[in-house]
Amino acid sequence: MEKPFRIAIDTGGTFTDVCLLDDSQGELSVAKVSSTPFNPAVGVIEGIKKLSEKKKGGVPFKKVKFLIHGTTVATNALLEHKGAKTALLTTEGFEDVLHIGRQNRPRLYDFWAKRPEPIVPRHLCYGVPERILYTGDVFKALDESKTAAIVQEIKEQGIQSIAISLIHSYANPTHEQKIKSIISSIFPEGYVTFSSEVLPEFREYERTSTICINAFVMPKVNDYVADLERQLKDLGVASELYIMQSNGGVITAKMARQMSARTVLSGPAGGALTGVFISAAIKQPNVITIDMGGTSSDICLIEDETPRLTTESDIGGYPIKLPMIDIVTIGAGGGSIAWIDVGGALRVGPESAGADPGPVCYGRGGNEPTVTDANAILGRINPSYLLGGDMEVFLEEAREVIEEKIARSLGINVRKAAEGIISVINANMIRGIRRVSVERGYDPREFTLVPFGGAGPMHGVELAQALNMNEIVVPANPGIASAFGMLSADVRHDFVQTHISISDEVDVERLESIYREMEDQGMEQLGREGFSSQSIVLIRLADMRYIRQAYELSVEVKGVGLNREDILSITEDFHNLHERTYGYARRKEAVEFVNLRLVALGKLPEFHIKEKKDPGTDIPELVDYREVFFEGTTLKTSIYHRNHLIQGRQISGPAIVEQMDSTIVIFPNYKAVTDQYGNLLIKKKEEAK
Amino acid sequence: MKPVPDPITLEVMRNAFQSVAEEMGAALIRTALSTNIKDRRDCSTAVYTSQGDLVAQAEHIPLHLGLMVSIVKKTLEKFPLDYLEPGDAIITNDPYISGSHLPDICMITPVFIEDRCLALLANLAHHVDIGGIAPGGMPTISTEIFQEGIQIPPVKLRKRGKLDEEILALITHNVRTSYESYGDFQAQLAANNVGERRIREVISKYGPDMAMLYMDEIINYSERRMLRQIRELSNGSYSFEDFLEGDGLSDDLLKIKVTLTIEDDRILVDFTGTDKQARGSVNATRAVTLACVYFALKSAIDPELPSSEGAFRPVEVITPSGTLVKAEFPAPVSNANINTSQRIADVVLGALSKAIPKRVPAASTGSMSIFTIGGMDPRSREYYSYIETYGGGQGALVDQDGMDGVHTNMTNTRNAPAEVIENAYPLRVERYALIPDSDGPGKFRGGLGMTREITVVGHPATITIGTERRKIRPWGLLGGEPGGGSDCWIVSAQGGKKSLPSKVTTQVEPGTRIVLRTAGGGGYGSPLDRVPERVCQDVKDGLISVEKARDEYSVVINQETGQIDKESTALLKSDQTIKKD
Repeated sequence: MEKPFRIAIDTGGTFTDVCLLDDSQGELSVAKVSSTPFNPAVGVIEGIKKLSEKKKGGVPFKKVKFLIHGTTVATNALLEHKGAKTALLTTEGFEDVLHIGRQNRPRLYDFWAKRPEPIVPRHLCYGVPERILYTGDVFKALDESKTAAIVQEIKEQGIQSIAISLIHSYANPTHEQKIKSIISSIFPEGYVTFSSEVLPEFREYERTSTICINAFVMPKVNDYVADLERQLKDLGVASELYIMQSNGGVITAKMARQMSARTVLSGPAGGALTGVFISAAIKQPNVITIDMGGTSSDICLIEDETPRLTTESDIGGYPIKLPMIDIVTIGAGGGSIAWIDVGGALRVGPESAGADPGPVCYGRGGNEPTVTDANAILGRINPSYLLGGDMEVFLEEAREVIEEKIARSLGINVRKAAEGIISVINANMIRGIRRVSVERGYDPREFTLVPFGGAGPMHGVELAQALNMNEIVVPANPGIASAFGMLSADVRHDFVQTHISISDEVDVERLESIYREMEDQGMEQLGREGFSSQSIVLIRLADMRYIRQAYELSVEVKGVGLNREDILSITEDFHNLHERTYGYARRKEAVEFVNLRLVALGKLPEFHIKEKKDPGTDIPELVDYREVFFEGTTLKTSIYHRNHLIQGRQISGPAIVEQMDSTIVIFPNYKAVTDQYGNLLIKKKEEAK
Repeated sequence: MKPVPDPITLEVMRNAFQSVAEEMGAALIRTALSTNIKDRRDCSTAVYTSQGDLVAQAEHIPLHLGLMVSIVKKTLEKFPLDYLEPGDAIITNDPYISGSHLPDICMITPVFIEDRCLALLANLAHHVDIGGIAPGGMPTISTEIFQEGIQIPPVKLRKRGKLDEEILALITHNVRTSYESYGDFQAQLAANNVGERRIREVISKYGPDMAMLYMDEIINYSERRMLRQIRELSNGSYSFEDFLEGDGLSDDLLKIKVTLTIEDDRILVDFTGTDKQARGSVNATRAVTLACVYFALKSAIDPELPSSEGAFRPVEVITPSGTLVKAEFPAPVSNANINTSQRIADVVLGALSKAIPKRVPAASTGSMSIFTIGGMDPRSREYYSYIETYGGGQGALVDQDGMDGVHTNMTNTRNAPAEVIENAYPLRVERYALIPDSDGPGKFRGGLGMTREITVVGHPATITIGTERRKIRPWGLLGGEPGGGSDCWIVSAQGGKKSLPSKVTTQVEPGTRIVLRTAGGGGYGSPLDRVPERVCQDVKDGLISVEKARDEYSVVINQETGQIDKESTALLKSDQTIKKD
């Protein structure tokens, strides 16, 4: 079989990262270009071209079999409130579902902290005369003529997109389907999202919010994806366009145009997949990734090579009830600003200088002391090798600002102040890592830390040390980890159907038929996307709880053709999972099924990165020595270039490894070695004996 | 030489102790059985010095802000340090010690290292039931504490690591939900175990002396920060009073009065002039009153201020004994947390509004508006109990409208989705909506109150309603008008409408629809100064009527076009201004 090329492109706030994998050689090449927020497709195409130019003989685009893209078009439309003009149709009496939400406020003590403005304004939230009960029975029939009048009014208002989410629609979709057909006869050009199709799951606020988000971002995603597909075709790319989803899988562009809300967290999901890839490569099933950028850090816990998923997330305060990789974001990045508060404590962040104006040492007008400035002063950043030497470092200016704004008022010297800034930002990140691990019942000591992003590898060793984590693994290309992770994604579709029933009384046939329906949908969808049945994996899950609990746990439902005994063993699995998660089980209590879920995976062929052979010498080429400040003293520190580190070569701290888009700091009591995939494995010296 | 604390280690240690408190909280929520703790998060966890000074706290509702500061010291008065041994766990729910109502059970454990008690850990959890005259432990008809449930004086539930199953049996036997309570006690023990393990790690990393030095420094830090913030305010003395509309037994107004004095870097909050304690259960303990004072001050002065002993050292609070703000034994106290707390917060914010009007909102909805329905579920033939608290309008701010339909001030629990209510109980939600025209008009308007209409399906039920702000509506500030008042009534299956008092327990027939409406928030500034385009937008969004726009805001909206009729508006405004002058 012909080995194809794969390309992954991740659009970030500042840079667009591109990864190319030559599957026949297992060779990876990467490129970074500036992002183009006015039309991100420009950056994407430029990135691909740049990569092609870099590669010897260029890239034969017709051989590109998989092209995967992580896009922020949906995210930005939502966060910047620049989606389509959207109307909501819901059950009469519940028009304020978005405006009341869960009636809670975002912060306890801040009078000014508001809930975000609902994405559908109140005058575009329409109540439809109808009512379905929780049993699925029709309590009040849909008034079709009134509905038609509402749709007519919506059309005249210049609405682009319509969301439909009726009370208990998960139990009976007929009213929603009727409304949809009314819309297609009166207003066929309108975009429509309806809840019984996209998210037949109970709890009306979260469902309606998700449906509205989908409706709101869909037209933008459609325009963008259509334009990009056209340009890729012009370039001669053979692959379909795959879009990264928040759940760690990809979908075809066609699907993304209908299920646009699935793409809102696509970038960070790519980072988590890099964690999965590394976890498999180093045979450590449990890792925690920390992606530290300019303004924030994304933290994700991976257990058994699988990232934790959640259906409880929100983006900018808008709940999205779709499965997403559980990523905790904290306001700690290279651009985080250091300041002294009124109580006299040194604080860092959450305010950030971001990429513009950026840290003082970048010389682009930044005049607040940042984490990056502190790293520069400590000698951890090469003053003449930022972005491979493309950028000048203004060390003196950074020193002055830290002296003036921090050191002087604390009565300490500039280096102490810089070290203090690092200690404080690390303390914030440690709390973030504890939040994804300890607070969820995991012990970080059983995990390997995988730091990436431009700034992550500078802090990884100290974080791991503070948390007693044994090993730190820095991926070969820490600056483009999100794009790299996307290369390994499978096509993934999630289906859900709420079916609330007590396990003793559950109608097993009904359960089986709901799973069957979802499986048929999954098979059909993946079949349309070109997957043969051998490359399709179906996973049944059930969200279960003790009666009337407010939380559910997701249990895998094994096998097909369910019978009563299977229900017992599923219930048993639930008790066990509950015990593992919450420390106790109520084995005599009745258990409820709440949501039935199906994950349909279309497996893409696995890929292999070519192993780099040891050329026979033990000592990597030393670039330089530099004075670097570690734990209160200045040490003569070896400086290496990442490209020179070949498999098996040991380096000993204190050392710094530099590469184009990142810097790795290895503390004096640590040592490092490169593995066959180019990952840098860092461990404590004593333990290595 | 005694080491001197430095501002960098301070911040690192503050993070460390804060994460101890948060991890205790996460463990408590994770392992709790009852939804009260698990979903509503009605619990707090905290770390203290061995003297009982609060170092770090993870609270999930503001009401616990003041409770956790005083609870441990009060218990130590009854149970001095000498009596504590490693592995002990003290519990209490005595409102006259713990400061909260009976369902809130506090657990305190010491952390010993080499025979020295270096720290104390505590958690507070709201149990589903605590016995007494009414399920849930918050009766509106109690006249003495004995009717509100079992009282637990400080006792050791665990002695030198051994759980006293007899005490546990005695307690759980006295509550309606013994299974849940038993589980929640286990979760409380687990939370403090997590805390102890973590604090040992911190102490072993930094050494006992350093750890203790920085515990004190964290407390001093909060105090310094608060002193600095208070110093920024101008000196002066400001009084404010407001009323509760009855104690559940009678409709007599009950006055709460405060005089707040800012003097350099101290604040004196004096409740002298407040009415005597009531016969019904609306009496607050001093700790509840402190929680409300601290909430108001923290929100107005330094919302990010970390909770610790030092934070409120610059604040002196005078609560005369035997009044609504410091009840004397054996007064019933169970409902103070729900309604009285909101009114105490209102008067403190009211007094503050005279000192720093730009940092305080007009009055918010002013009640947690509790609503319970109980009866036999005809589907399962089991007893059910639906309980929910409802948000309302937030008071307007100097430069921002109040939020609509939201929990304000002393609580922040989430609502129950209609689809969850209908699956779980024999009830049908007919309507869940904002109430148009319930805003307090102003340059910035108060938030709208909200309404829930529920029909009792196929069975008779007992309902209890506890609301406020029907007669005395939430006040506006600087010319802002009061928000719309609360209301409740029932509609029988035959369509007959009957008004209900603001606090009531009554029986209803099958098919009865109960309508509850909560109060809107007060406005800020004169409604005449509201930007007409905003008024127009509110009309367009159906939040206020064309009539209200004209009568209260003097903005004339053309019904046909939905646009502002500029000429008529100008005319009306000049008329109004002349009238005002």
